[in-house]
Amino acid sequence: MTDVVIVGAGASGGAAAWRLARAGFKVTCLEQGDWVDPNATPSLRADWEIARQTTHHPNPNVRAARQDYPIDQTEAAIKPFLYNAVGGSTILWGAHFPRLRPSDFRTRTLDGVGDDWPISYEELAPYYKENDRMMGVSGLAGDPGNPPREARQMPPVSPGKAGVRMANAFDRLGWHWWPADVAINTSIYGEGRGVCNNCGPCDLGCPNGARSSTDVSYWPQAIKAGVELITCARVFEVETNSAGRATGVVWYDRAGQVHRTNASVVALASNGIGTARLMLLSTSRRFPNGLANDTDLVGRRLMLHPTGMVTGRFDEPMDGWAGPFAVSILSQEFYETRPEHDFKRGYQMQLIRSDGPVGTAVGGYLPRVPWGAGHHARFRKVFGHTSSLTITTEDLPRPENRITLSDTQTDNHGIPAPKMTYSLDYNTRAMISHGIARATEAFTEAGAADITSQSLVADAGFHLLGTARMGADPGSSVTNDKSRAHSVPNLVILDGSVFVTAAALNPTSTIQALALRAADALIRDRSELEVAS
Amino acid sequence: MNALLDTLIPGDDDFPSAGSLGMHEALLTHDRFRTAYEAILDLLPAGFADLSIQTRASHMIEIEAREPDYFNGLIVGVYSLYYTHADVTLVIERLTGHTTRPPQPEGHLLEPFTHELVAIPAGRLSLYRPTPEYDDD
Repeated sequence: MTDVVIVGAGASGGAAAWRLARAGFKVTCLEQGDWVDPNATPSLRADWEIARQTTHHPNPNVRAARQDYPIDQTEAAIKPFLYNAVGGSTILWGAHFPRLRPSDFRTRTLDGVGDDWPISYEELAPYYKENDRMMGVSGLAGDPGNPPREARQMPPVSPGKAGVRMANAFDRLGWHWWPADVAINTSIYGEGRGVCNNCGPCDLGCPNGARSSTDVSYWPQAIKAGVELITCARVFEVETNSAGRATGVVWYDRAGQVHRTNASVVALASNGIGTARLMLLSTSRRFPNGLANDTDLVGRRLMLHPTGMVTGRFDEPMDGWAGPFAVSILSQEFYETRPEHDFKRGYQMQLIRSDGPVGTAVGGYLPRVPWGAGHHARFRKVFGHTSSLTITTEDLPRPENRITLSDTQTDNHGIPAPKMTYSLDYNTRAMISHGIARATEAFTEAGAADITSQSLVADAGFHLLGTARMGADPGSSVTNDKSRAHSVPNLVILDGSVFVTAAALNPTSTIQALALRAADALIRDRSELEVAS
Repeated sequence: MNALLDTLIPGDDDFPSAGSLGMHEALLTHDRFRTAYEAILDLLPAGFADLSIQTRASHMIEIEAREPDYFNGLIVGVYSLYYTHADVTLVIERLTGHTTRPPQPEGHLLEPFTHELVAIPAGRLSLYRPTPEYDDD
């Protein structure tokens, strides 16, 4: 018997485990993946770009590693992008680390769309601060686009040649831009962690430990604090008693043996897909439609941040293969609702560096280099000469965008796979169109030629949000403002599933701040928690 | 089968053709790329290698339209193996300065961030919107 069993050792699981163990809770964490050896990263090998297309592909359906589960994506306009390991998807993330804006918590009140959160930016701010300290953030105070806050732990990453060009262009256009907040060490920070050497492919892992991931930030501290972390442990059911209280979880070990871990509190931290899947799998007489699913909201309101992309080619080399690939500068000029727009809410533009030879040829930021007679001429023209702006849009929740259980696919234990059903609405498409036009304007101002755009980047399902939303009303939400299920008071949801709206930026710092807040609420309420007798 | 590979990536004054690099064997023995390659090979007409380059390209366009998933798999495989081949990365290094060594452990040099860059945006007024004060009563 443990006090808290946490399912998932990623961004949120690591943060909550650390917090709870330091407060004296006996914590067990079950992770279906394993530790990733930073010294085995493909970026130490000459064939590193092949790994990106195969063994380290962000889509688990392509990667198909032993620890992965398939995701039925047949009805999803955006494909999944996640990782299963200690560290979760922070193993392959770009480490963008912005905070939500205050207005993101009040979209219904301010703009008449989405729903208000039951908490405010101000309530979350101390947890953002604590999380920044644990993860280590480089960036710069003074951004007029966000509320004032303290200095970051480290100075910003280098903007690179393209970043300087685009910053100057934004200035001439009179648009907001600012160095990105990034969970990457630009100087020594954290125990045993090094400094970024601008190698480029953060997504393949960081042998220096410069790019923060929870296996190098939270987990060493959590284990020191006494957390028991069990890897290669695939949880397939949360068990409940007749009163509807969670009693523990059942899981397969790496040899396929079934185990049961009983706990006073069950905490789910398996991302917006995995957590919804596990809740839907956990049926009982009390919860015939899935755990805590009285409202039929579990799995619904899936939000993914549809992303458009514009790429500009400059005549002179930008050397964009150098520097952390996903982070440089960003613009939030069009983040908020404006009366002249034909959409509500807005988007962020984020400058992305360019790619290596394989990535350039296969395509991603740019259209694929065509095969045939003109192949090398096109490759010469674009390689190392481009940069891109992503248009990350607000993704307002819709019930038809959802996670269900697949009728046709199972994982290697025979457990039904999750199925993504996801489409874009008019508001989102209008935002992307607007963003593409503005990003094209910015590249033109910067002197780029040969500007191309993608109206939707399909392989960009990396922000998995909203499938067990929080709220004050048990009739229209799954958890309360402490991230505890209304109908199962000893069930906590720690990951992005609890998001009420998605905002228009990278969610990891908010996911972790919410997890720390949920952990603090458990610590505070410890003596009066309703647990299974 | 070099005719297929050379149709996809022909050589020029700087770059070798894909078929000249032994990629047929590499594709056939790669556990991730073999299936798509074999599927496309099965679709090639008899005597493909004896056709003109234009006719071979026409066949490939038709196969790409008919079997887009396999064709995509083939392109990912061919481009991945070609652009990580030592003969090709040496050409890229000579033409662009992009090093043939892997990204780690040496990394790359970049000019650090300088505060002068933010002089203009730092002077702008607040852009974020005020929100009603939160009330949990």
